[in-house]
Amino acid sequence: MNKLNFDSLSRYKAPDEWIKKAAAIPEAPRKKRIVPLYRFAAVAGIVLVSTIGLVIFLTFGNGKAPVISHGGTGATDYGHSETIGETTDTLAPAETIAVPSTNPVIRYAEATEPTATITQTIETQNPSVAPITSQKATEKPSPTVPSTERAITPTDPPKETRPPKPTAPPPTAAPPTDPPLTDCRITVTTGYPSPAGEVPSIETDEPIVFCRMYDASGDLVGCSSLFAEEKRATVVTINPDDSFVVTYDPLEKGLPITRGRYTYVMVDYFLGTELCRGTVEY
Amino acid sequence: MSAQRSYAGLSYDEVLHKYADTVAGVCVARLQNQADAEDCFQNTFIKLFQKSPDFRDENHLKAWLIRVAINECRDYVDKNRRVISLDAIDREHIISRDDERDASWALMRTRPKYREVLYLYYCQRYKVDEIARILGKKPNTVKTLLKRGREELRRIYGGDANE
Repeated sequence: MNKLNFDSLSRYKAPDEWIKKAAAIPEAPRKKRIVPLYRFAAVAGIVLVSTIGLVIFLTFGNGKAPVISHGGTGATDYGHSETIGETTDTLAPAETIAVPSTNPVIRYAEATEPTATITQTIETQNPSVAPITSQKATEKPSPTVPSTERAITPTDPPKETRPPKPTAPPPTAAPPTDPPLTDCRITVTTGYPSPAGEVPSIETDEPIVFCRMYDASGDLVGCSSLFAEEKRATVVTINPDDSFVVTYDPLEKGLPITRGRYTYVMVDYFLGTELCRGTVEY
Repeated sequence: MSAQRSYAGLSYDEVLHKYADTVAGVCVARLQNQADAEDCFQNTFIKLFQKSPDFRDENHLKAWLIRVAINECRDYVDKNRRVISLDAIDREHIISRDDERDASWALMRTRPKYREVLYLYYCQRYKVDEIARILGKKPNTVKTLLKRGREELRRIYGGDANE
């Protein structure tokens, strides 16, 4: 073996072409650096689009909050003002609203424009209690019982309890042309959840209902605040089944009511949900 | 880019020109095919550039290159599973038989497991311990492979010489 050698392998020369190609290797990774830039741009684009979409959703999505609350999802929105014109297209009359089990099941009827319909859907109260049901100015409030009731909870029909201490109509509203007061009977089958964090200062077991009045053009009557004292309805009585009766007299509250048709919306302060709505004429 | 990197005090181009023959010899001895050997040759230097390991000295660098080249050849064979016949080797004339005392052609005909050890021992002048470190084997295993490789080399060279 000592006589032999392996010179052919030991002195093997790499072809120049191989070396040239290997010398060009450092140039190749530079081109690959473009790929991460594209990837970075793509990721940045996705993030940008997502952010813009989120901003748009948060900006314009809140405008549809009344629709959500109308469905009884319990969405609370205490801060913004609204006009009827924005929501009339989307707020379809709902005969009954199913609320998730964790929220109070609120069943109410929606009063529509014709007076007859209103009398169908809204219970009139004791004549001594100013009814919210709209009536002609020339007509006196009549304790007519609605022919049909669509909004009463089937499992727990509202009791015919009379308010123990009915509120008298405002003395200033005595003339025949006085606008009738509206009445709205709301049946709540369960109690309230704990008040939301937005309203910690109000600690009461009684329901708090605000009534918003909108004129024919859809503008909110009175100050722009949705929960101003002038919009607070008076709770007349609370039934054992947690249903309650409220009254609201816009003239008593000093709202600038003139002749014409108005739309009222009863809103639960704690839940932020719309309890009922209807129209009245003065 | 290459000027910024240092491999045991050498630049990439210096390493390439200094050890290109060694890496090429390892690849040719293992694969016995110019095209395949070139692929592994390039892959070895691509890994050198991409990984840029820290080398203690040039011996470490050279051993690393040989180890990577051998692994590249093994991977290449595993992936392609191509069997190169002896006739094909003769046709390519990678190693000529012009010199009667040059046994490189016989070494190329030994089995790969012996060929790697024989090449590193006789062509690269590595010692058994160094070969063991490069190949990741025990020294006694290398000694056994070296002994059996010599016997196979003797058979191939002697048998062919008798023809």
